[in-house]
This record gives sequence, structure tokens and C-alpha cells, in this order.
Amino acid sequence: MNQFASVWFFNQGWEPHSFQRQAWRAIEKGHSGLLNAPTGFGKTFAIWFGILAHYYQYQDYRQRKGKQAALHAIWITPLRALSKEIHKAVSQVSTDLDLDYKIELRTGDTSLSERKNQRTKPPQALITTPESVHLLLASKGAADYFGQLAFVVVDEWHELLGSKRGVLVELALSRLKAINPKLKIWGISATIGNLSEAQEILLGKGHQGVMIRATLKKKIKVETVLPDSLERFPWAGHLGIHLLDKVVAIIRQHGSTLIFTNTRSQCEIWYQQLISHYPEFAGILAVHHGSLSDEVRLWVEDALHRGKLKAVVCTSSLDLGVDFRPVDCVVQIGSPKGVARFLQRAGRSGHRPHEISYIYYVPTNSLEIIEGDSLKYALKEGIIEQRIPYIRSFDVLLQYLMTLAVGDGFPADRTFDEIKSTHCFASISRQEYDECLAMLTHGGKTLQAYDDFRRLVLADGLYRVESRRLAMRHRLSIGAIVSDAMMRVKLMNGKFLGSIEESFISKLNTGDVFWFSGRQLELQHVRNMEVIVRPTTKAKGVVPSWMGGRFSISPDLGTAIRHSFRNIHKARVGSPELSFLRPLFEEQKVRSALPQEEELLVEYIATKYGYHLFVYPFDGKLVHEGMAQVLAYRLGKIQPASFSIASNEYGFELLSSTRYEVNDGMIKALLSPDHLHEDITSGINVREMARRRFRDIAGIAGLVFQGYPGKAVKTRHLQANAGLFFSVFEDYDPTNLLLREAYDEVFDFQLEEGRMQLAFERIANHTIILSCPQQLTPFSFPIFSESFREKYSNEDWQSRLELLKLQLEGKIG
Amino acid sequence: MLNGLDVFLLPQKAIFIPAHSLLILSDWHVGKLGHFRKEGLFVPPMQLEEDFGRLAVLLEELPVNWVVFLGDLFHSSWNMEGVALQQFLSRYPKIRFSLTRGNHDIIQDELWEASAIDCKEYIVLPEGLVLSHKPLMGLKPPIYNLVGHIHPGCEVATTARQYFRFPCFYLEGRVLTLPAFGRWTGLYMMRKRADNSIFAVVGHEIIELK
Repeated sequence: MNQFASVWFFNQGWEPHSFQRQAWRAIEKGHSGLLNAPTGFGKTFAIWFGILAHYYQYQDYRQRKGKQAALHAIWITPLRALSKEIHKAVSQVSTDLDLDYKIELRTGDTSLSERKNQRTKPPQALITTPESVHLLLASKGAADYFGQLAFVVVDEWHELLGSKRGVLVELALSRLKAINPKLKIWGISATIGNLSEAQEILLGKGHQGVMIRATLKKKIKVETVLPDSLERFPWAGHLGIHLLDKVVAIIRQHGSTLIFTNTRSQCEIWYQQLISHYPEFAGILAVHHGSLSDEVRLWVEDALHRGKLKAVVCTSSLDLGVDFRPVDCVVQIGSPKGVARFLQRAGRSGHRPHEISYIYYVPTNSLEIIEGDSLKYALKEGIIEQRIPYIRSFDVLLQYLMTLAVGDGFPADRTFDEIKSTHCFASISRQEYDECLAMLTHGGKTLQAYDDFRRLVLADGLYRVESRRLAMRHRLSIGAIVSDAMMRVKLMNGKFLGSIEESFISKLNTGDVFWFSGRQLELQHVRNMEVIVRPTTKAKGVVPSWMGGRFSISPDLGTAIRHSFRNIHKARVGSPELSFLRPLFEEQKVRSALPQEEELLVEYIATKYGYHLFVYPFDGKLVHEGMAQVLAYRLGKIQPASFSIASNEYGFELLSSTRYEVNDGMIKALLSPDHLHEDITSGINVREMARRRFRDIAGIAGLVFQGYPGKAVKTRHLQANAGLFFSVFEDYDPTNLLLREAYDEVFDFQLEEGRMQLAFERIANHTIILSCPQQLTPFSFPIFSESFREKYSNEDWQSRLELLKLQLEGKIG
Repeated sequence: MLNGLDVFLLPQKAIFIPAHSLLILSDWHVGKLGHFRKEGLFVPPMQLEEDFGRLAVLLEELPVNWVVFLGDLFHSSWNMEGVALQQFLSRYPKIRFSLTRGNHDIIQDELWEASAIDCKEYIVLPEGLVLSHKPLMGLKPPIYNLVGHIHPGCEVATTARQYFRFPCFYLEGRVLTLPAFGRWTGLYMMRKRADNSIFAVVGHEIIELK
């Protein structure tokens, strides 16, 4: 038994869980490993006391008195807020036990002087983020600084794993392991579908690490909030305001409620609606999302801790870690899009062991009600998503090489061996690596004559950055999160409220009113990158929308939804959601048809917008987008045409301005799995998808400089968007690695060819029900209302232009 | 037709005025990619053949003896791409080349003097046409101002909820704005109103938006 833990737990009057004992034992034996435990059960302490015991057991760490202290452990978390929480908890341990083990925070918030202090007089442990670790690697003397490091702990590893920040962690670990081969690595992860893969990626291939799983089960109670009558509930929409009164009733029943929305603008809208319909909530209702200033967010978090708030409307900004004890209820507005996310949010209430987590699901349109049934099914069956790690992310590699060059410099061969040991770059060839080096040293594959390109220089076997300006610019842009140009919103007295996208502000004039940070604000003036506002009581405001944040439903939730739909035609259905939806299904049956199991419904409807073909495979949005393009391509082969495409979780739509003949045989042929691969490659506008992906890639690789924080004037004449770079590479360097990466990401993450093949094969065995309703149906309406559309055309460019010309000249359309 | 002068809008994103044998283009931004490279951004260097080809066709097929660039000819300071431009222009010794200086044209005067291009703030044609980079303040009717600078473009909605973007010539009041000639330039979207005219460059044609 861990001595420190037994004293401390005894003093607290707590009994350690068995997984904590297991972890202490494993760390004592010198293992690395992965800990899988739900939040709220003390997983931090399960690792922390192991680290403490190690420090005091191995004297060489302590007998450095007189000599400089050395860093013993770093604890990496995905969120600054979480870092603070951990810092608070573990510092308390040092205080309680009167230990000289010092722990400090190092995040984006840490002041310059503190950072400098941490460099010259390192504490025993740093609580930090992946980006801050890379920043440390980007400073001189990094190898010495990490020379005595014994532990790296990666908290919420599941959260980092599926993003490029996970690649940052992998790369940092490859370097730290090389500096100190005895380094112990511990990960902490919630349950995901590919836990052992997650462990292997963290610890390295062929690792000897242990896996510790807490067997504790958390009780979760899910309830779907149903409207009073189905007739008055909308068929489409995503706000969910119709159920406002019901949500208020739930808030009143509980002590403190978190209301999760899917986007920041939805978050603002809900706050606004709650406050204007229930003014009595003023002062005890707050709003929290990623674009608000730290000050506002910290205030909200602090008030939550102290139980001063009745409810907080928030986004994924409050998904993770931090433990708000007073919260006893969670409301999810709209589809949570994934089982894991839903579980995570549910876990935010009833945080203490053995308490029940309550979560209410608030659907935003009638078909979405069914997801309540699906979520319950998924929880019951233990269906949970995998986190798919990124591989071959050359953008992150280029950034990392720059990071090393800005720091101590790097030798080509050693670094190649190190990165090749990571999961992300296991398959990189020496040629590809050399290509990356070439991009950084002479700006492309070959040296151009008379060119003054410079970024990296090779001297004494080490690649370094010589230009101070480049080094500075690089340090400012370390990270794998790319954001748009943001305007800072400030009150007249200088108080900073948060940031809004430039594109939103540019549409407003002085005197216009908008909702932000839960306040009604009037635009005063815009100065450089600052928007000066003042509070107002003028009615009518607009709510800003932020780019991004629109994700598709996960395959696993998709499976659960299909399971629910399998039951809709049954006369007697078990769940309250399905029986509530009966009239809607009846309506669908009357207007068109209701598909049974092993049946596929296809609807062909004419409206003033054109001719709509709706297909409902219930395969999830991602697969539908791909299927729709394949169908458009195949239709176009029969008769050249242009389509605009929309899709949702249940089906997709092809809209064309020209009428075409539809019959059973032709639909069957359209949906055939034969020649699918050829049709995907030639039919889908992969280029446009890749172009969109390239935006982030260019940002991470360091092609698009985001500008100095808070400074309006960007580097003169350097403004360009990623789209331009995409076109330039396409024309002048089509085999460029970054360009290829964009395409690979499209195939891996967006198209999911494998799932599409399965869907086509499944449909091949289905009976096709073709119906031509006079008007839109309950199934088709939500897809019809989707505002985001793709386009597809196989009419040649010239004949499209002709068509357009005729239209512009008023001869048609 | 402006002030009795025939003014042709060309789909090569240029204007031709036969009475003066004058070809006008704007915002070429030569040297943009080279400038990026100099700042350590690893883009391939600019290959100007396509742009040169487009201009060569005009110079050879139209009776041109004067070319005016309406500013932003060079993206930034002098680089290799500027040398390529000079070599190209020197193939046409009989043609006079002028530039009305733009915000991007920061090359020192000595370099201009050494080049084949004469550099001015603005150029006035006797029929009352003023050529400049940005619109000039205080011009009175009947004077027309031909300018560049903003890279105008337009968006066309067609049936079945589809949209297309094109570069365009943009006429508002007595200011006619040219699209950017250069290939690696963006578009600034203009909206059709009652008091303006938009001439979209659609493939090989110019179409007025109604």
C-alpha cells in the first residue's frame, strides 16, 4: 500500500477503490499503463500518489539540493480549466501532507514572468496542455530541461486521441522518451470502443504497460422531454425553443442544471429565450461557451462550484472533467450526435460516486424524438464510439520539425527514427520525410535558382531556424486548432467579453443590436480588431453564428437510430418516444409510405424549387452525403444534369431543375453495389471536400499565419487564404504531401468508403418502395429544410454556362 | 460606350479602347508567391506562363500600342517573378507600358526608371476618362473613373439552389472597376442593386447581370 495515500485517505476518512490500489502497485513496480475509470471516482489520485511515492523513494531526485531542482512529472490535459482543477487537487495533497513537492500550472494563461521562473527554477511537476509542452520543446535547452523527467501523464486521452492534438502528444512523447528512456507514461481515458488501441498508441508498439479498468458502474437515467401535442411540434428545425416551458419546469425541480446545446449560437439563443420569458432567472442563470472571455467563463465556473447558479446554458466547453458538485441535472438540447458525448454530458450531474446521473433529452423536431429511444437502446447495449486516430498528418509533422528547429535544432536521422516510432508516422517513408525537410529548407522539392526562400538552415548536422522573426512567428502558431480571424468584443469601459468572427461583425452597422455573452449589445464602433459595444434594451437583436461545430452523427448512434426505426411500423411499440410518434408515422403512411424492415423508401416530389428525389437508408449523414453523390453521378450518366444535394441522419435528397423519368428498375440500378468503387472515385467531388480540409492543414503546417494576438495589422502582403494555396499546389506541385493529406483525410474521415459499400450491399437485398407524393412528407421535410447543400454536376462546364447565360438573360427559369 | 468612347470589356479580364489602341488591366499581383516564399512559406514559385499567354493573345490579336496597369502590378518588393515579367514585356518594344501606382506597388522609383514601365499616380484621357488604382475623390461628371483595387466578383444563383462565383466588371455611378487580371487573387463579392451594373466574366463571355 502506498504510504502517502494511506495517510491521506485515512485523514480524509475515505477508503481507496480497488482500481486505485492497483494503479499504485503498478506504478511502484515501474510499469507504464492506461487507467480507464469514470469521472468522479478519484482517478487523479490513483496516479498522483504513485508519482509522489516514486519521487520520495528514489533519492537521486531529492538529493539535488544546492543543485538545481529538476522536473519530475508532467501532467497533460486537453483543457486549461481541467488543468486548473487538477492543480488545485494535487497541490492540496502537498499542503495536507506537508510535502516539498511543488506543482505549477503552465498553460496559455501563464504569465511571461512565471514561465521564465519555471524555466530557471523548475518545480517538481507541471500541469499543462499538449501545446505548452511543444512550446517548451521550442525553447533552447529543452533536452536538459526534461533530462530528469520520470513521468508523463496524459489525462482524458480519449479526448485527445481522435484529433490532431493527439498527434502532438505522440510526437512530444517520442522526443521525451528519447531524452529519457526510463520515462513512465500513464494515460487516463474514459471508456471508448478501442481502448487497447488507445493504449498502444500512447505507450508505443509492443509496450509492456498495464491496463487498469475500474469496474464501477455509474447509474444513468435518461428521459426524453416530449411536447404536449405532436401536431404543434415542428417537422424541422434545430433550436428546440418549443419545449422551453418544459425545460424550465425541469430546472425548477433540481438544484443546479447544466443545459447543453450543440452550437454557440444556439447557446446564446436559449439563454436569451430563458431570460426574456422568465425574468426571475436573472442573476441565477448564466451562459458559457468557447468564445467568451476567460474572465466570464471563470466567473461562471466559480459560481457553479459554489452552488450559486440555478442553471447554465453551455456548449461542449463544459463537457470535460471539471467537477461541479452542486450540479444534479443535465439537459441535452437536440441530438447529442454521439453516444459517448451523451454519456459524458450525463456524467456531469451526480458527480459523486453512487449518485444517479439524470439527463433529459430535448428533441428539436419531431423525427428527432426517436433518438431518445435510440440513446436508451445504445446505453443499454453498451454501444460506444471508437476514437479514430489520425495517421500521416504531415501538417503536424512540419509544425513539429519547426518546433524542434526553433528549440535546440535537430539532426535529420535521429528525428526520423523518433517520429517513425509513433503510431501516426509508423508508415512514413524516408523519401516522404526528406520531402518534408525539403519543403522547410528550400520551399519545395528542388532548389530554385536565384530564390531567396529561407526557413530552416543546416549547420553542424543540426537543422535550425536562424531568423528571429520566423522563430517568434512559429511559437505563436504552435497548436493543432485553427481558428478564424476573431474580433474582440469589448464594452465602452474596456471590459473584454469574448470574441466573434469577423464575418459576422462585417454584416452589422453602428447601432445594430446583437446578443452575445447573454447580453443585448449595441454596436458602437469597430476599431482595428476590436468591437466596442454598449448594453442596450432595444428590442430585436441578431445572434452571431460561429463557423464549425457542425458535426455528423456517429456511426454507433446511427446503428442505434436504425434499430429504433426498425420498430416504427410495429403496431405495439414499447418505448414512450415511439408510441408518441405514431401519428407522425401515420401521416407519413398516408402521404407516402412507411418502410418496413428490409424495405427502402424512395420519394420523388415536384415543388417550385425543382424535382426532389428523397432516399431513406438511415445510415447516418456522412454515408448519405457520399451515397447522394454516387447517385447523382449515376443519374447524370443516364441524362446529364446538375443537382444540389442535402442530407441528414435519416436520408438524403437530390434536387434538380430538370424533370427525369423515375421507375423501379432505374432506382434499383442507381442503388446497385456494382462498380461502386469506380463510381465513388469518379463521381464524388473529392476535390471540393479536400479543398475544405486543406484549410486546417495549411494553418497547422504554418502556411497561413494567423497574425499576432490582438494585433490588427497582419504581416504586410502576406494575407492569403488556404484556398489559394490549395489551387497553387494543385497546379504547380500536384504530388505535394499536404495536398495528398487533404485527400487522404477525405477518404478516411469523410467518405468512409467501407461503410458505404456495406450500405449499398444491404440495400441491394431490400425491396424498393417508390412513391410520388403530391407534397412533402414528414420524412422528407427535415432534409428539404437543410440549409447546407453540396452541388454536383456532370453537365460539361460549357453547357452549364449556356444554361446559366440563358437564365441570366431572362430566357428561362 | 463612355463619353463617346467605345470601351470593350474583354473576358480575358481586361478593357480595350480602340480609339487609343489602349489595353487596360488591373491587379496582376506579380510576385505574390515569390513574396510568400521569401517569408518562409513553402509554396511553389509562381509560374506566369498562363497569365503571359492570356496577355500575349491580346497584344498580338488587338491593335494595341499602349498598355495601362491600374495598380498592384507587383505584389510586394522586387523578386524573380518581376524579372520574368520584365523579360516578357521586353518582347514588345513597340508597346508603351504604364502603371498607375497601387497600394501594393512599393518598389522604389529607381527600379521603375530602369524598367520599361512608366509609373504615374493617375492617367487622364482627353474624352474625360481617368485611370487610377483606387477611385479618386472629387471627380465631377461627365468624368468616368476606371479603377481596380477591390477585385470585384459576383455570385449567381440558379435554379435548384445552386450558386456560382465569377469575377466581374463593376459599374456604380461613374466608377468602373476592373476584375483582377492575376490568377492568384481573391474575389470581393458585389451585390446587384438598382443603381449599379455587374458584368460577369463567364468563361469566354461577358454577361450582364439583370
